[in-house]
Amino acid sequence: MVTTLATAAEHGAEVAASTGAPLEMAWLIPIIPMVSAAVIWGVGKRFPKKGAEIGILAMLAVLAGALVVFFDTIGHIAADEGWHGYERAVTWMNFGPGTTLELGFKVDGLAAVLLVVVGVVATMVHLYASSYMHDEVRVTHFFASLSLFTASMLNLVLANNTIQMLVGWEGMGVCSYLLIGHWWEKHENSSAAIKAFLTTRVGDVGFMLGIFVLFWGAQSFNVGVISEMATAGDIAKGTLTVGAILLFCGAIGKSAQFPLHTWLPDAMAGPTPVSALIHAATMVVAGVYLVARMFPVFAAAAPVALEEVAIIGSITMLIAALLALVQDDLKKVLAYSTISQLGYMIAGLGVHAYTASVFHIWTHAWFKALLFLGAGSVIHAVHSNKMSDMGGLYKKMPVTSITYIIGGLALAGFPPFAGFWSKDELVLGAYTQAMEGSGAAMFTFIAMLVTAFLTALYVARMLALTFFGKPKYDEKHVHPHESPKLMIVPLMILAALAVAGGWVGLPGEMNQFGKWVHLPGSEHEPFNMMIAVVSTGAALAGFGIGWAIFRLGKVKVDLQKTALAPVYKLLVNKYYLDDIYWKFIVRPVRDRLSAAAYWINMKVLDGAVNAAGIVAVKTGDFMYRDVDQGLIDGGVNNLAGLMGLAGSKLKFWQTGNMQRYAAAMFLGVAVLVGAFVFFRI
Amino acid sequence: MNLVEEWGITLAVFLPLLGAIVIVLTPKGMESIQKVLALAATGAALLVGLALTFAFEHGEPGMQFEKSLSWIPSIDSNYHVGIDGISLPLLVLSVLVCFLCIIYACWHIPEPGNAKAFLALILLLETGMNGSFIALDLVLFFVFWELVLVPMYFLIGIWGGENRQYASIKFFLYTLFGSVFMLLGFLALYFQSDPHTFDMLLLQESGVLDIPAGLASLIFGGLALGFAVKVPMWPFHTWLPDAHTQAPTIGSVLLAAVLLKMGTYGFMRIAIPILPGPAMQFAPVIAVLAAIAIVYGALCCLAQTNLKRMIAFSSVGHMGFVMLGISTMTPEGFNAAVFGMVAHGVVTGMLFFLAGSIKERYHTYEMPELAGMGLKIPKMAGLLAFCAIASLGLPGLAGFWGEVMALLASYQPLEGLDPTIFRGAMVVGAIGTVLTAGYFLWMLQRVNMGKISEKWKKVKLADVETLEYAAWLPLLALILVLGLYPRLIMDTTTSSVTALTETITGRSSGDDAHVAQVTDH
Amino acid sequence: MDVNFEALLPELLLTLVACGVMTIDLFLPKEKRGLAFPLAFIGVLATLAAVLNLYGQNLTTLDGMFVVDRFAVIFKIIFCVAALLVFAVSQAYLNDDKDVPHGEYYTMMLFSLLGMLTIASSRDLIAIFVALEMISLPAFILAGIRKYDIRSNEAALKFFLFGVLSTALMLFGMSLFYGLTGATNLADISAGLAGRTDIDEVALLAILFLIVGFGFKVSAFPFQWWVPDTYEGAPIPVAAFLSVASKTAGFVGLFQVMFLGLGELADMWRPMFAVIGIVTMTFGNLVAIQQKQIVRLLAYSSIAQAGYMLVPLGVASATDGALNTQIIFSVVAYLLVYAFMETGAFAAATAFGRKTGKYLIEDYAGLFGRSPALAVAMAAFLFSLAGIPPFAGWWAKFVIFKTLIEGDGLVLAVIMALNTVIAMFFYLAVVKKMFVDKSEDTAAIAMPRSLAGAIGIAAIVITVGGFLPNLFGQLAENANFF
Repeated sequence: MVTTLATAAEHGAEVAASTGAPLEMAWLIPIIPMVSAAVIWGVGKRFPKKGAEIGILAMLAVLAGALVVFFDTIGHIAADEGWHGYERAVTWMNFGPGTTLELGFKVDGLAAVLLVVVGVVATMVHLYASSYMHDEVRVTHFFASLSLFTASMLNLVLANNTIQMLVGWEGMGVCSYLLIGHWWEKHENSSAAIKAFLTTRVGDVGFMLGIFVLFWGAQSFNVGVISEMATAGDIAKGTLTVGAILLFCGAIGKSAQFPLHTWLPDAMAGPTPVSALIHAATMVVAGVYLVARMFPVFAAAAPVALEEVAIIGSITMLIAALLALVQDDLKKVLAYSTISQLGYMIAGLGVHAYTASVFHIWTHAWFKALLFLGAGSVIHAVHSNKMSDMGGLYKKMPVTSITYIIGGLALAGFPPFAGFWSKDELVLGAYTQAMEGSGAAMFTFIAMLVTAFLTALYVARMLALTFFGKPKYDEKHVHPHESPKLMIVPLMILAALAVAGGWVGLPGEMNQFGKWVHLPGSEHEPFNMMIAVVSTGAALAGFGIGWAIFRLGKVKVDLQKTALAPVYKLLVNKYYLDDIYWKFIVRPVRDRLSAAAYWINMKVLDGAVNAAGIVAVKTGDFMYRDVDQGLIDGGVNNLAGLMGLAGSKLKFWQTGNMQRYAAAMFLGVAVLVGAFVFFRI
Repeated sequence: MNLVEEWGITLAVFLPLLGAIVIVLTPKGMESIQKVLALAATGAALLVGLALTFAFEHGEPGMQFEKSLSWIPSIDSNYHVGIDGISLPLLVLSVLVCFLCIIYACWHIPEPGNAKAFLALILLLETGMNGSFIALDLVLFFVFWELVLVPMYFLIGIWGGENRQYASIKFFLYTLFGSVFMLLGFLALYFQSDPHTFDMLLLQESGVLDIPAGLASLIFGGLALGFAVKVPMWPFHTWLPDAHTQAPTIGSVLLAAVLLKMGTYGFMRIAIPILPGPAMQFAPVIAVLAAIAIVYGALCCLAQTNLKRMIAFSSVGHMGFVMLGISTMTPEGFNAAVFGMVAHGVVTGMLFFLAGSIKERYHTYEMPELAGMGLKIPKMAGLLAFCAIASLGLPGLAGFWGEVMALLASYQPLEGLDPTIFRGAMVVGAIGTVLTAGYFLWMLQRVNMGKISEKWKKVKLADVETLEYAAWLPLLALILVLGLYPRLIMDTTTSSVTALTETITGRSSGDDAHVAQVTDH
Repeated sequence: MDVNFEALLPELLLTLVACGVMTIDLFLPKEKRGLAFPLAFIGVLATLAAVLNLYGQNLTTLDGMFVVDRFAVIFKIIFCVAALLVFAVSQAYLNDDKDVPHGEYYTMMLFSLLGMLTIASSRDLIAIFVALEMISLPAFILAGIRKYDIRSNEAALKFFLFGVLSTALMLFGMSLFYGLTGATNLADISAGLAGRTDIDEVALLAILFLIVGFGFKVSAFPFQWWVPDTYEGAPIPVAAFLSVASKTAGFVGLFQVMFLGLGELADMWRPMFAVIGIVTMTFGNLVAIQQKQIVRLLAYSSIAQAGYMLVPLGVASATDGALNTQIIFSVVAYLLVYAFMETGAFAAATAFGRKTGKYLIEDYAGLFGRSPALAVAMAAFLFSLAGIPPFAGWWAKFVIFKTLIEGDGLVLAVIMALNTVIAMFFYLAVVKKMFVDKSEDTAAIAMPRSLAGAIGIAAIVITVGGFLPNLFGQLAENANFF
């Protein structure tokens, strides 16, 4: 049984000494959007913009708070290299003697960076959406869900214990569900929402069980306590490995890693701002954040747990990048791209590139949010998601186009755009590990390079098909024009970040990010020119080939007519994963297994109950008709017989009944005598 | 305050009975007076319940407000009542839900009417339910336990749905079947104790130490059968879907919110503390049955097209989590169980309210016919979504803590229990949460979402009405409050459930025959 | 021979009343025949007062044949109360049925009651036999008192032939014991049997014959054949009288003979009662499920009830006085409750059938809508018979279960437990008819005050007794001759 327990109070005491006021109030940050969600649901409808303004206000407050906390945090870091965070907690409940669950928060570099990401993207998305969603149904509901989502994400980021993380984690899941299914009049949309929720929930089972394993290993839910105990070797390695792998299942679901990635493309059924916020910049990186947050556990459980992480991440980035190549739906290209980039981050963690992975969360958030919002702007203009309905939009919507191209280049990893710096560090990390003899890291390294090539290829295709060439939309009915200011301004801000956001992680002494987010044991590798050249080269090659094919038309390929036709078919069918899940899991469970269980319920279990009743009635029937009445009245119905024999009733009695009665009685006595004599003597 | 401490729990039990008697004495047809009387009686009981909560020393493990009066000296039975941290939440739940049910009844008395009988029966039912949670004497417990049968039978049989006759008789006979064995178990306990006693606390302290192992298991089996039918544990659950589906809304609410808890409470109050040895023997079996119930319940839910029947089956799964928590025999597990009971009471009770109100408007429970409810009556649909999400165990809402703690506890059951089985149950239960989410979301898709069917396009339906809000708001608030502030229950229960586990470890460790191999930790 | 007239006072008083009613009735004009009821009623009340006067005393007279102790007094109380209730029911019934002569009816009831009072005090085989005959002979007449009704005649004749047959067998059994021990006094028989080992076969046979006699009285299987037809044919109040008072008298005789006289042979008769009890209750319950007529249903149910009261004898002991005390206590407790719930049920059936002339269970449909109070009362009696709280029947069953467990009769207890579940089946069927089903006829059922009073009193007693069962418990605890 649990007898002693290390609580955050003990753990936090040492770190709380060097803190200032802003950090103490960090817990307010998630509270703000939580309150705003409640307010919007309550009275949002009465506002002129149906609650959007409340959401925007809340987000601005969140952003301000996030920035204050962020700068305070980096101030602490600058002042003290060894500063590793500020933590405060109250008891949430004691659910057993000495088993305490806290409600608390922990601010360190990692959390601060994520706060800024969430704050900025959420604010941009809210601004954008207030225009984008203006004429849509259920706007109030939409903004309330967005607020609640933001609260959940912030709660996850700040949580100091695993259960509280789970609370945020699932809260996001439900908001994601609500928002994906926003236009639930259409069956596909609600189905996509369900799919997203259930698929991630499968991973969450692992997350939850992982929490349990680590809790019983460390006797605590506290992240710091678990991490310290894991690092110090106070938890059995087997426990750690099981715990880490189970936790990672959660990440696989939430961060859309293979094989649970299939929900994310479908999630594009939701409004585009939702895709930008939830399914690109924030929620889907929660899995990465989880692994990063619990990284000491993974590190202590190395190599098994980390190699698994690296391999899953690598597979994911490859297969998703390939899928992004064949999509026609603009949002789906971005969705697969997101999966692929998440694979980068996950794989990066798997190869100990801790800082680089978090850095990639940071840069990816800017350019991917930008791309999604840009895509929304485009879709708004042409009323279609399909690239085959676009083309030549460069002239019609210059701001959208330019910002979108910036985002694309950042995604493709060209210097000096943000994406380059983080991706380069990831590749470097994989390379370093591979050189130390890790096979998994070598796989990751190669996968990263290939993916860099593929990424640039599909970016080129996407840009070319969307903005260049001849218009493919119906020019009679569709008249694309630039989006309103409220949509443009966020694009410009995000574009600026997509350019400059990576500069906080420049190589060498100028690298600030490495100071903000670092972990002893997973140190930042020094800049390696060769790696930078190779990865940039891969990207350039990919972009060049793509541009040549899709923009310039220099190479005419029809994949369906080449030897690659089966591959193309495989890609178009998304590796048949959806079909397999549908045919072998969803349908059998939902339609057949459930029907079988219900059949058993009705025919076997309930059947037995009913049979018991029927047996009782039938026995009674036999007793009555054949023993009681049969023996006595010989089948003559009492009353009917009497009516018929009314004239000679005396005779009736004398002849039949009484003798039978008496006989029965004597028979009874005889049987009793016989039985007792027999048994006694 | 002295009145509360001295007579509070007694009042909570008998005020409704008094109300029932008064209502019976009023002339027929004075519906509004009868409603006011019912409100007054349940409201008074609720106030007493709240006063008890304030007077209660939270964090004290033992019995409080104990009262013992001679009742049936000819069979050594006393009116011995008292509450501890395990019973208090359930008692409060009961008085609250009954009060809300009466409010709901003010909004609507189901067909074929007759407010007088309907209200009086609910009040009689409340007496039985409240009494079960305070009784500390086995005979007294038995009487209260059986007291709920008659009113519930009538509620289902008279005000129920189409198939009410079958459902009500099945409910009655099945639970009676279980409870007669429970009664025999009680009597066996009486004769095995020295000195002979029906007093739960005495039995728990020293009563049946020297009992032969085989007999102890037999007695436990009898008690468990009675409680298991009530819970209901798989495979004794088949009365439940029929009873729930056919019962009038208020009947379903009370059945789900309070009646089922009598079974789980019986395990925690009687079977386990008095017979810890056999309880340890049976624990793995209970865990396995609980795990089966979770998955099985969810699968059966997936097969339903009837909204109310689906909610009914969901109870099987949820009570599976409660039983899983109990089977671990740890404070964490027991806490999970008590929390799960209250949460299930609040959430599923609310779901049944909603199902009833939906039926009032659509005259059907068939999900395909309800399609597009979100467009027709959005507030109702919103509440349904909220409760469904709470019921599937979303963190931050009431349904979460009971489930997650039960699973957490089953990773590490009490020393002496084989953790392998429990961990297996944990994994199965965790998978069950996915299925649970599956059927609830599918339900929402079929009911709330999509387009309005032709039949309802032109018809105007009223959205949630004031009296409905009045009956529901406390429950909705509790769903949120319990989710965010679980201490509300935990601070009360923890010390009592810890004492319960100590009873088990203290008692069964002395008896080597019952202790399975001790496993590594 | 000294005769203690104080001990005999209730019996003497009742004899006077009975003769008085008979005589006065002869001289009353036809339209004043109704006077028999108040006379009989007041007479029984007076007798009851005389009985209560004896409470707590221990008197013996007539050479030890006649004893007044608590056991006797309490049963006399039961008999008187049951008779009063039945009288109240009869009054309404007789007013409707012009064929039944009032004076004769009440006189026979009173004489039968006299036999009952006597048997409670009898401690001698001959006295018991005489008392039993005194109970039975008027009952035969009562069963056939609707002289122009074929069914009533059939009921009476069946009842009579069976009664004669069984008493003959019982008398034979008694004579065997006289032969074995040379005594008719129960205490002497007991002394004579002590330590005898050479009498197995004869004693066994003798016991069996005694069981036939008492089995007939208490309607145990396989001596229950007459019950349904007789109950159905006889006026309902008479059926109530037979199923309550007469049955109780049978149990009284049975206790006295088995425990006081044949206690030494408990090992021999214990298994018989276990088997008979189990078979009787199972048979009664299973067959009752099939019934479509309320009186027949109550008849079979009363057979099952007899089974419940017989099984405790199946755990009796030759040596353990405390256990035997508990057995007697439990059956007496059951009989106490039974008197009210069974009479109540018959009274309610009378109330319904009297006006409507209907006795099929089907006809009870919608009774709740027509006469809610009557339906509720009937439901209460049925739930009580089934043993469901809050009605006193639960306690009656409880003490039986307790006795069985105490006597290590776990198997008996389990079978009885299952039986209570089966029984619920048909009780619920009636309840369902009354409350759930609808009827076209919505007219309320009117009933005279005496009948309503009887039903009301019975209902109140079993409800209050359900919450405070010690009201019965105290009485039953005292009803012990050990």
